[in-house]
Amino acid sequence: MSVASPRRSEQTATLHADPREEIVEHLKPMRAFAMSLTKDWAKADDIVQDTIVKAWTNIDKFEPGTNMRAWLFTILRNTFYSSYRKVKREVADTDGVFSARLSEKPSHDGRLQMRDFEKALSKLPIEQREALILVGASGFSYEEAALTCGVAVGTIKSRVNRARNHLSALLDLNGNTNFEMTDEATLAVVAMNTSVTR
Amino acid sequence: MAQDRDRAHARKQIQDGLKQVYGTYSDADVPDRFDLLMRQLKDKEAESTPEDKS
Repeated sequence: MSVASPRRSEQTATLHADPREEIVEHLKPMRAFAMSLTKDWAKADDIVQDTIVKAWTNIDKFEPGTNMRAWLFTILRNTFYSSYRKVKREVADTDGVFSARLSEKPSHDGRLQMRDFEKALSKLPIEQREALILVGASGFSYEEAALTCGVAVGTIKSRVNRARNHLSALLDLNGNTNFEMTDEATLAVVAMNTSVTR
Repeated sequence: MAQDRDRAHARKQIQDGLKQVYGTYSDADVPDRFDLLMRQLKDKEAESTPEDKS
């Protein structure tokens, strides 16, 4: 298995005598990234499980002192795309033209809620969604995200930019729009969806 | 000028939304299957190590 193993960054955990001990520390971020890709907890957990087994058995390929989270995310991403190519359940739509045509802008009065955002995020083409998640939410640098995705840094920057523009259009964001994502009703719905889908 | 302000505002809204949604995913409880998996991997390793040495 040939995967990128970028230099250790500040987000990574403490050094262990056996690097396999560190895998478990990245379980929650791996599940969050897998959930962002699959939009389904059961599938996300299957991919994380496969990733752990692959990482465990290929630990000799990991270079101690480098960024384990990026290494694990690379394996996870490869695992996802292997199953994704087999299933091919989603429409190939790298520019998001098709999904934008299908999507409906949320009707709102200048206040958006978290479920609107989550819905819009799920409509982004997968390449844009993963780039935005890696850079905007997982704390990866553009360079780390590029290594993880196996593309040039410029490609990641372009995908992140397109993802932001795409989301902005999907959510009809303007200077008068504000999210209300910490209200109890929204959090209750998200918590309920999270426990149901797991 | 107004366009720049709107763009900056939209970008902030997107960043807030991302952190909120991803935070919810990250905070979700980890199922027991992963404890079991780690234990199985360690047990398998412990079983295979003496044979490898002999």
